[in-house]
Amino acid sequence: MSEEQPIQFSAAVGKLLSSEGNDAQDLWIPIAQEFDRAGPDAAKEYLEAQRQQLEERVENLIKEIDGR
Amino acid sequence: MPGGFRIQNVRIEGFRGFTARREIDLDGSHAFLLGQNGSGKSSVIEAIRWGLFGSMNRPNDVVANRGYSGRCRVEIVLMSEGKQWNLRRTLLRGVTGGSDPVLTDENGEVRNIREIMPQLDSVESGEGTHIIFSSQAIPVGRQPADLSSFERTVFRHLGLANPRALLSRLNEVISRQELTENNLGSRLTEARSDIDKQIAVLARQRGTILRIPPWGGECQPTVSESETKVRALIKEVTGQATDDTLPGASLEALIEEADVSLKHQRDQGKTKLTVEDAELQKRLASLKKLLDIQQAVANTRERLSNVQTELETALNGATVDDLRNRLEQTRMALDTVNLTRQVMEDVSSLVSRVQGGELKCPVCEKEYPRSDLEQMLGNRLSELPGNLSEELAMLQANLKRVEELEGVSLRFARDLDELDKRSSAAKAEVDSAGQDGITDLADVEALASHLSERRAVIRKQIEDQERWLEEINTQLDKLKEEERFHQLQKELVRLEGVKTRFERVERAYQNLVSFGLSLRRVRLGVETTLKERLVTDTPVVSRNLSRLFSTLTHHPWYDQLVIAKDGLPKLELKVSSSQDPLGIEEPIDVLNGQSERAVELAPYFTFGQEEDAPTEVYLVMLDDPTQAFDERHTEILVECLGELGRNVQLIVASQETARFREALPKSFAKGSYVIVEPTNWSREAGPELAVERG
Repeated sequence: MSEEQPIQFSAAVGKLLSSEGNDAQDLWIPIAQEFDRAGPDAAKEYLEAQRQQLEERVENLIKEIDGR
Repeated sequence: MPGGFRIQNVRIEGFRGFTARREIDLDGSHAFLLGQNGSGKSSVIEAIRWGLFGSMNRPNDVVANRGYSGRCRVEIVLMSEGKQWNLRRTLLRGVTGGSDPVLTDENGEVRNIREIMPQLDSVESGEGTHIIFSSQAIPVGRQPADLSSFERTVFRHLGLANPRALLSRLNEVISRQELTENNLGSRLTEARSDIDKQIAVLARQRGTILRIPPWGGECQPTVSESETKVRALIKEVTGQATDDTLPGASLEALIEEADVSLKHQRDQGKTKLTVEDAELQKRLASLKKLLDIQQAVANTRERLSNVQTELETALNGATVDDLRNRLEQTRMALDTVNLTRQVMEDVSSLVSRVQGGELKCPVCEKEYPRSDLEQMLGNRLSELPGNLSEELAMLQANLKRVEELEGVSLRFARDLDELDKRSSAAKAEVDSAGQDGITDLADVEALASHLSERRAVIRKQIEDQERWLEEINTQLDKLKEEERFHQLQKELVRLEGVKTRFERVERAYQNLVSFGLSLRRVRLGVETTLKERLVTDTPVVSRNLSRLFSTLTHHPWYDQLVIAKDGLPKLELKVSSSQDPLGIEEPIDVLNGQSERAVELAPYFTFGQEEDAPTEVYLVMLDDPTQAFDERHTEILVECLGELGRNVQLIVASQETARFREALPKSFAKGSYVIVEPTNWSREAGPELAVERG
């Protein structure tokens, strides 16, 4: 058993998600890249940035409406 | 031992019970800290642990010796790949529990701990037993806080620490995502509901206006048409010649201007007419007053005349003094008559008492025959006047009446004087109001009549103006309703715009929700893959754990430790029997304290004996591992430690001093370990450490 497994692991997850649908598979690809490159914290940072971007988009649109 | 290290030397200063500086020279060998409870052996374990990993969120006073004036500090000399490293950790001042670790190389140069010994940065700093893996086996970053020490150890051992950490990180992101979804979802639902409610309310208000439109049967006016109407109304109210009042002003501003103009007109017009009316009313009141006085003068004069006529009749040509003289004379005559009568009656009485035919008159003293004398006396009495009393009463009544009439006449005369004065004053008041030349009652009445007519005209003008203002006000109310209608229209258009923009927000929110769904699918994928790996890999771990567990306990029935598949990816250690593999039990339900302790220790021994380099363990610290162990099991444990110590540096604390001293030489090579015993404890310096090489 070795820690080379993350790459194998992310590949296994990718294979599993290929049957789940495009959205999950599309999201997984960059997560897996970050995970393989720099570990789980980097993957989390990527996801959190994506999530915050979407959240901010909603918040900004709400503010835009509130401001009028 | 690539990447691993061995502890060479430990120096403790101001840590817990250590007031004086103490030093343990290990030179890479194992250390067995033996002694009674409270002697300080656990403090040594804690000091090494703190020196290596520090401690998060612990108050300083728990770590530092309160009686020590110097800094709390632990210094550890490590040997790694033939190089010597010095790790010195100093407690920061304050109460945060933070510490400052400094790693220096052989040349005394400060080096980055995370780069040189990343394992120190990735191990949790909790108390108790520790197992330190070599750097290749550690995950990138700290292990998730939601895992037990056992789980962390197994995941590292299986090389799945990073996938498991990824699952935890996904859970963290999803937790935040769910909070965001709920929060934003609620806000958007509420906002959407608010917009719909506002639109419904405004549409209802608009419908109410449209049922009875203020513009009547005409076409629905535009804003411009309504503005023209309001301008016309302002022109009518103010009488201005221009058609373009307040050029460029909004309908709302024009309505406001119309309101102000109307109010101004109402106040001004009403004031003028009301003042005139009040003036007329005042003048009429003055005239009325004069009229009343003059009427009173006439009445008083007539009554005075009547009284004077009556007085003249009562006097009958005489004067009051005449009447009084006559009354006095009559009163005197009456007195004389009465006196005469009294004398005559007394003489008659006297005569009647005297005997004889001849009698001397008692008055004149002449002799008279009795009969003559009696005759003469009778005649004289009969000659006395008899109606003087009645005459006197009549005279008295007449005089009284005359005096009364005189009084009344006098009072009327005074009243007339007073009325004349008041009449003059009232006339002067009327004159001062511009009505000179009033001389008599007829003039006054004529003027009053004229003023009353004038006042009626003014009252009518006031009524006409009020009626006109009321009509204008009604028109203005309708125009206000038109303005409100336009406002409602405008607001509805605005809200429809908001609703359209809101749809963009909802689409953005849906993107966020879709992201959350994908995220959950990804988590499911990671979790499923992780479970699959664990289902494949954990039986090997279970077999190794069972072997060690069986060796440590020799339990007659429960000889297997298994990681339950049901709870994966959570790793829960259960016990079962090789004679009944399906009968899986919770250790706490079926084992005694000794066997439970063996369950806790088994993973450290199992993974510490692995030869596979990536999962190599190079330091195991055990604090009181023989707790609840009997003599036989303590010997077994020391034997296991001997096996473990072939690959791993051990730092073990135990209160079983005698048993360890007896067992250690049997399982450990001479010179491979030191025995450290805290001795000679003193309040000033804490324990001394007696180090004995085994």
